[in-house]
Amino acid sequence: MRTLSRPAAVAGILVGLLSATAPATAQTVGSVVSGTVEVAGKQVPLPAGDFTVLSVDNVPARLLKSGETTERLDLGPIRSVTLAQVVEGRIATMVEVAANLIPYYDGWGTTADCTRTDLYAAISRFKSGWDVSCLYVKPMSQGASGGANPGGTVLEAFAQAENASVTDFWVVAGLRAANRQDVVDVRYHVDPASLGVAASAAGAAAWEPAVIEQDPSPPRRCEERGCLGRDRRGTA
Amino acid sequence: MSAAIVFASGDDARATAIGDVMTGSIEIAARQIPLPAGDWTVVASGTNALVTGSPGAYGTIENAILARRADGRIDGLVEINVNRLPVADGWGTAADCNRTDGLATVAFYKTPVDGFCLFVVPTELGTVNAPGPRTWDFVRPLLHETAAPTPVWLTAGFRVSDRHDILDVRYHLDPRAFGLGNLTVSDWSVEAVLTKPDRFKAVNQLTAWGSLAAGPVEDGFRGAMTGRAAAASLPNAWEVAVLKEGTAPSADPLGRTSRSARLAALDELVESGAIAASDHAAYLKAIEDAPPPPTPDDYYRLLGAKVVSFNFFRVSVDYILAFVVTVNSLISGYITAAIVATHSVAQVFNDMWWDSYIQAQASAKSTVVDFVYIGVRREGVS
Repeated sequence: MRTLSRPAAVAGILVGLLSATAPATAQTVGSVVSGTVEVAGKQVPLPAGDFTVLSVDNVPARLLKSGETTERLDLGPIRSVTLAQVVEGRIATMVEVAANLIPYYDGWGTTADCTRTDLYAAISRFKSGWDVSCLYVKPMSQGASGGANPGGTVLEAFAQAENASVTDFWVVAGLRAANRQDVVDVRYHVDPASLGVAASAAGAAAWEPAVIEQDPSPPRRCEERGCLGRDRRGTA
Repeated sequence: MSAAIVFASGDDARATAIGDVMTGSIEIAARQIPLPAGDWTVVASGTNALVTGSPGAYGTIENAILARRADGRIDGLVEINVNRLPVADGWGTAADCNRTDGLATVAFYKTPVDGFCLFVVPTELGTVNAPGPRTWDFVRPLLHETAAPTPVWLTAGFRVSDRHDILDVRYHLDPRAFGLGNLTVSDWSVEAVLTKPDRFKAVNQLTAWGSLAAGPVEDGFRGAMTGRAAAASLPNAWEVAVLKEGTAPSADPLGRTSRSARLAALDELVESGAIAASDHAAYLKAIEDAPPPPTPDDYYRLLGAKVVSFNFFRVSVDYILAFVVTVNSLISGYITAAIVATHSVAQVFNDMWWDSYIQAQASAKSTVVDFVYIGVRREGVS
């Protein structure tokens, strides 16, 4: 897909960015949703409160295998929707959802994060050659060592418009659910401050799983994220 | 359907009520079941029981029977079974999917946790004491309210299940629609069918129809039939052209994962403005250029190449070793030929034995979950 515009990396199997406009029936940028959001016909549960739709894009699917990434345009475009929530002057939660627009006959596979062994949690509820349901919880830093803010410029613009601050350190609870035909990939980015734990990219080392194991407090927060994931996975 | 329909007991919470006339599809417990052309009346609705298997806490099995009337008599029945509560580890397969005496059996996929199969079998449901689920007690009299029905009907059945849910749907068709009269079960054995062109054609038509209907059945199982797909009826089996060997199908496969449906979905994305026309071209080319799904022929081709390459290596080593010992090319050739002959025969018998062993192991582990079906006699069920 060399002719496609705006390629951008997103961790996992489904990555990339393709410029396009959303159909009238889809989520529109700026709309406010709560409870659930529908993306490419899949209903995705949201944490409590109102969420603003920041972006609606279509991205090409990419297959990550043995460290090599291959574009798979034959899987059709993937709908990608980003939402965010402001609580007490902070972007408390940002949600990224990706789901297929065109069904496939042979399954979609898991996401690399679900197979990692260096995270707080990576739990495969079930996994076969054709279906998967898994959850992972991981830290994500912004900055020189952590890369770009997961929400990109749209999140920064939204925060500016809402006069809200954006953390440079997130805890991410991600879920992948796929059957033989369809897939949905959800990443709940949570500002640790909204859990009552101040955190920043500068202090990201304190959130390394090995460090966490020695500290009873942050793991409890992490567990809360894990519990959130467990609650979500059955309905996502 | 006439007013003579006897209404069976039903669940008030059920979305579809007895007496409802359905076209295109019917939805039961969030699963959509595609229907052949015509008006189909819900003639019975209730619950069913398991006769084999134990998938876990499944709550109740919802059972419904629909009938279609043509020329004053019922010419088709659709028997549906779905679970109410999801289970955790799959539902297993149906005994009819494993039958070796069925008229046709197609396993679209089968794993320990999900499966999808089609089977074509004769069903003796036209007799006065034909067994069936409780709901059948209300439908059986309808078959006999006019002239005596054909004793043995043709059934195309589907079993589709995933880790959580199951749909078992059986389309029972009066053979008279295929121009066939009263025949016995033995007349519908594989051997008998192979000797009678009219029966052979009917079975092939029903099998071809099953292949067409498979896509919508699987889509409906996932609740994914939307818009036109949910409203469109399946063709009647006797209207489906029989596929001749070596020729391409006259009709594209149905279902949302078929190539034509995926291309149509891509077109709709462009029309709705979801993707740009330039991107559409790239996606279109990728879908059109995508290789077809692998077939058993692909597997055997690969297996053949593997056997040839290994045997080339083995024969070379055998010959070299024989030559090192004998320093005689002729004797080395004889020794190599003898080894090849004995090993080849031994390999064939070894493969056969292991295939048989593996098949027996797989059958022993395979979970069969069956309900009470119309016209199927089982021990303890009448």
